[in-house]
Amino acid sequence: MIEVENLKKYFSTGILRKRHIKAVNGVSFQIERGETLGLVGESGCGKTTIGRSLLRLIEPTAGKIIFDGIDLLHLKKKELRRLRPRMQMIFQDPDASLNPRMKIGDSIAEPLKLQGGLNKVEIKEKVSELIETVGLNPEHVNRYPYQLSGGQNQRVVLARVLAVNPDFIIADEPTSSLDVSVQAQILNLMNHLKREFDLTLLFISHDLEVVRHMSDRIAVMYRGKIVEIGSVNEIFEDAKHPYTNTLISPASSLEDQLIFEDMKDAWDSGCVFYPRCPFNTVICSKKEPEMVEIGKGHWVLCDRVT
Amino acid sequence: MSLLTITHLKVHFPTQDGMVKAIDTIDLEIANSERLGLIGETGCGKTVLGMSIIRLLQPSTKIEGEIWYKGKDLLKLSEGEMRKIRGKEIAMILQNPTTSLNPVLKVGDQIAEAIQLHQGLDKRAAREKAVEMLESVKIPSPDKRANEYPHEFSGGMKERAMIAMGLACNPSLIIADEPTKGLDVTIKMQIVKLLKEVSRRKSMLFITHDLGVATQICDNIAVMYAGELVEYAKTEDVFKNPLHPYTQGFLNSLPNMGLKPIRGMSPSLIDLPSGCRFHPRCDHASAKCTIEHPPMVEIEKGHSVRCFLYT
Amino acid sequence: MIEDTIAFLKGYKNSVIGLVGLGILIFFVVVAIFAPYIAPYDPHEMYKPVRHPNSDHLLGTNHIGQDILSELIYGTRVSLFIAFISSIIASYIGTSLGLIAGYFEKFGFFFMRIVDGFLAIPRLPLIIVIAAFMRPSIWNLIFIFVFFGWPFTARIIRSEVLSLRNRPYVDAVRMLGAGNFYILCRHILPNVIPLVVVQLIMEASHVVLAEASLSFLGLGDPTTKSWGMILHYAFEYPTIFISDLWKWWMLPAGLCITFTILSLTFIGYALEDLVNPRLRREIL
Ligand SMILES: Nc1ncnc2c1ncn2[C@@H]1O[C@H](COP(=O)(O)OP(=O)(O)O)[C@@H](O)[C@H]1O
Ligand SMILES: Nc1ncnc2c1ncn2[C@@H]1O[C@H](COP(=O)(O)OP(=O)(O)O)[C@@H](O)[C@H]1O
Ligand SMILES: [Mg+2]
Ligand SMILES: [Mg+2]
Repeated sequence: MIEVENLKKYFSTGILRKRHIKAVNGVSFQIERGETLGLVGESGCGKTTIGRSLLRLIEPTAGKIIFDGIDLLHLKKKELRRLRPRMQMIFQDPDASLNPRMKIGDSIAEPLKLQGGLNKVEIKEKVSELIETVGLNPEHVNRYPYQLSGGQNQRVVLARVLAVNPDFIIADEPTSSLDVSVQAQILNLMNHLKREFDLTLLFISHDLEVVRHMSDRIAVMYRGKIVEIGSVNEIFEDAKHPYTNTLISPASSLEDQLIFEDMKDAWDSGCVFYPRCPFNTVICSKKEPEMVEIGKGHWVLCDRVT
Repeated sequence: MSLLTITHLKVHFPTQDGMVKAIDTIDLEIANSERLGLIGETGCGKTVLGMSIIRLLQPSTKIEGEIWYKGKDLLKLSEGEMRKIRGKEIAMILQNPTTSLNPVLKVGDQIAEAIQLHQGLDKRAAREKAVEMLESVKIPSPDKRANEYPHEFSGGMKERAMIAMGLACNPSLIIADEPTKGLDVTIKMQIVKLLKEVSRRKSMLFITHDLGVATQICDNIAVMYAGELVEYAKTEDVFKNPLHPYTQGFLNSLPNMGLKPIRGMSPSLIDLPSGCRFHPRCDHASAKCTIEHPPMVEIEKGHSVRCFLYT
Repeated sequence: MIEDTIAFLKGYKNSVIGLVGLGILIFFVVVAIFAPYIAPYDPHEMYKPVRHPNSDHLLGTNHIGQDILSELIYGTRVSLFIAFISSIIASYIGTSLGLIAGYFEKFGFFFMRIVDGFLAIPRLPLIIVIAAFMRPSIWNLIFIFVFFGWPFTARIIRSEVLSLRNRPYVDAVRMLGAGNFYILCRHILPNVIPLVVVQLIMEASHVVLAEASLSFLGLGDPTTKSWGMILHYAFEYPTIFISDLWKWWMLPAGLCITFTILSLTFIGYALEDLVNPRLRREIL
């Protein structure tokens, strides 16, 4: 369904001294139709940047993105616009994803109007249908986003996304601003909708437990690179990369975290994880490791495993 | 012996839409050297409870009840007397370090300011103490870091700086309001470890909605729902033997416990449900629950619950 | 939209200075509209010159015998007309350009250098110089005020659009297949309208002052009666400050200008309190 090859996105910042932030630094993965790929990593590691690049909300610096056989990066503006509804993104902050001046019903109706082909009555019917699908009440149609809770607004966002009949959805930490009990509601709803509407999902989160629940396969990301990718079982039972292990049992977390924070800007060669790695060697600091497949579909970015 | 005793505390906010009953009613004790976790969902009144202890709520707020601290009722103290307690005796580590640190002041100066206010040290000495505090929260090269501005700190470091500021005057009671919110797991665990260390031989009210974190730090846990406590128990009892249906639901909705949600949503604090406040969402609710408000009852020693299932 | 308006009116009702400002402005607007019915004389009609106030001429007459009260009443019309027409046109242009400049990055960068240039020049002296070169007429005045007014609106609107453009909801709508024009009109414009209104009111008060200043300096349209022109002729009269003449010839016009600017400023403040989302959130 989706094939990403060597995706890179650099941001340049700084007024006086230009600095390049390698937000995404050579990432490759595939997502099969109907599959959920979980993407985990600590904040700032480039997860959102990957999501936005996939949808071309930002232009990647380099790489290749194939969606359903179509090369996205060589698409004209007009063709891209026609393709867009098939790929959707759900953002972290549900309250900010809705226009504060628009009623819930109008927000959900908007994509239907944009697509055309339905008259007013049909749109209204479709909106009530969607509202029911995501578990909201009909009276919510006339409310404004600020009158609903975060969880309810996330349901509205889901309804609006479903209105365009997408094939592929990127969910960028859709529950990280919600309470656990609400999070459970939304995640269950998403799993249900995924089955009912036959969706392919890229599920982004910094919470490994949540990702475990939602995904078929998991990609672990660290500072712009995917360091390990494999099935849920492989990641949880047979993790090979030291960083994945830290995420799984954070209690044994690395002591030198702060020292690392001090030097992270200076760091620019060898393995991305070198400064925090308990098993690092001199070679790790010089030579960049390559992705190796250690089991079918289980890839690790670490020279130590070979 | 208890350090802080809250009795019949009510905190109401008059607003345009009606009276927001943020706290209604809470009785709570924190013993010397006890670390008490306060758990509950967003908007249930946790921050308001913390703020009413150090009396930082706006004047229009209606507060009833008593908050006894070392033989004094904090609610009856004058603002001047309260100022001597705030920071020195009771320190609050606020939610959201990004907005709680002044962006235009150096971190070291902000901590020094807090020290000067209470300890009568001169500027140099306060400054040295500030560096010492930064060192005690394990910030590397603290003398260099003291000269930096908050935006040069990462999220975890800002949280550490906030903790350093809170601890600067060696308070007897620390109120920590969701200090790990928004931090990554690895950093979160380090902050937890740090808090555990610095709160040794101190009392702490640890506000959070993250049960995992609470278990690591707290001796006891109080579960709050819609402005009141619904369960109080030793930390391990809350996990092994949760009694209140809300506590049970809360645990079951955790990702590693099966992600089973509680249906419905928290009630509005303006328009609280009659009877038991949890009854509209409760699977065990009977007719009695819809009418009568259950009292908090001690089931075993140190384990109380507000539910008719146990009386 | 209707609920928005009602909530807005409720909020406005609580603002004392807002109500005072609105009251004064309504008074002037009524005077302007019904000038022909209120004014005792045709302001161009000539009677005995330089009369003190009396029962025929409540504020006396000017140097060529025109009734000053009638001049003042018709002057309201001219002054408000110029103020509102120029601020409306300036806001329109400024808003359109601000929207585009905020939304399209490359154009915006280039465009803002021009706007900065405009804003860097002190406004009034340049207006005076240009006005001196042009034939004095109402429409030329309006042209000048628009020409120098729009950059203020453009800059404020642009900075607001810059922040709105990157909101997740704008991205979300884009992914649903919306084009740039649609997003600008449906999702960005409605969110800046309140700012535009505040800006329009503030601009109007600038124009009232600027128009008065130009007319006072003799750069106004000599064929129309504006408050500034009244001041201009009064000031040129040889004994204006030696005698009592200024009390009814200059003072009322000066007060009219002052009160109009004051009322607009009050309204502007009240509106700003209401519409500025940053301020409002702090109150909540
Ligand atoms: N528009 C931008 N300009 C400059 N830097 C950016 C921009 N967006 C993201 N970044 C940087 O890229 C890195 C990755 O960001 P992001 O993808 O948001 O991480 P995540 O979603 O994993 O938290 C961060 O260091 C962030 O500061
Ligand atoms: N100053 C205030 N005025 C009105 N309502 C308030 C005020 N402060 C807090 N509240 C309300 O009190 C309730 C409890 O808030 P809070 O203690 O911040 O919750 P949390 O448990 O998330 O910390 C919320 O519903 C909030 O809206
Ligand atoms: Mg992100
Ligand atoms: Mg809070």
